[in-house]
Amino acid sequence: MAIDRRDWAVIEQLQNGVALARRPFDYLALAADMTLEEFLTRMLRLKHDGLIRRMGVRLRHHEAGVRGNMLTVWRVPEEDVERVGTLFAAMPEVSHCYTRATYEGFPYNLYAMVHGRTQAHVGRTVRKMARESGIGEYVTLKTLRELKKSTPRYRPPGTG
Amino acid sequence: LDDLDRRILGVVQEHFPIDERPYLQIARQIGSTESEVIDRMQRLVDQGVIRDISPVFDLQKLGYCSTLAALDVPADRVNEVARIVNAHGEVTHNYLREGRPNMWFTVIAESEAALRGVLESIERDVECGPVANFPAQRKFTARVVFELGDADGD
Repeated sequence: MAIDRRDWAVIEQLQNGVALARRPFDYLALAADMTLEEFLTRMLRLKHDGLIRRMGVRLRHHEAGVRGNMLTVWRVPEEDVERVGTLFAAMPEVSHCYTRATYEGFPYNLYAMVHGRTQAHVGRTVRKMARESGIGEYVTLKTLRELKKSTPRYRPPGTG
Repeated sequence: LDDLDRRILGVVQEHFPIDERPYLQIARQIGSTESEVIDRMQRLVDQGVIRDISPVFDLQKLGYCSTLAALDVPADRVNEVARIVNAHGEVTHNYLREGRPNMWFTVIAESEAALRGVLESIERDVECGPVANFPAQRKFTARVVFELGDADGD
């Protein structure tokens, strides 16, 4: 699973995006200074090893008809975390479900991001999550304003 | 979005083919042609539905560290504090949310030390009390959630 400099060349090119052309990887391979065969082979290995978690298009939620979303945080007893996390993760409306460290005055340990066609749909999903999990202590952290949204740019170590 | 758009998105959201002719592979899977797939996807880009075609990387496996952090910012200081927080390239997302704390941001850096450095610098510069740090512990799921075939209309 070690990645070398040529893997990083593939990673850096892929972050520029795949073109809508018949042979889109030809351009990226050329820019990475390798054959198409080597580029695709390295890409398949990065995917297989999980460095590429998902290869696909990224959508804009709103334009794709997903107009509601809500970050929810739940206070789940330690012995219930496995059950509730698994339950939430199995719901198609939940995109991210993580346990996180708690903080003084903020005792919630399970975070779930919920999406839906509308905000009403999201509200129904959140109530269903509470009902099915039996966890009554939760808060919805409604977004008031998006202050920043950027795509991280990953670079080889030590190149800043 | 029509049925063909949905079928295309159904394939390319999770499984964009790693192949010398990816759009031909997609066309074969959904019973279309390579040029029609490219034309449709171009339209979805023009309409703003598709942001880009690019992998989602596992940042930890690439050697990066990340966390979710939050500040409790008085209403009259939100813009000023957001400018300071957002000025850090390591801050990728920042949202003002209901409740307390109210400013929630994600930070990605090349090491735990660099991550701590960013949080300490923000805490010092904004003078808004401590930065609450909520590192992820266990991940149950991280995926896309579009049920584009489901037209329940609500």
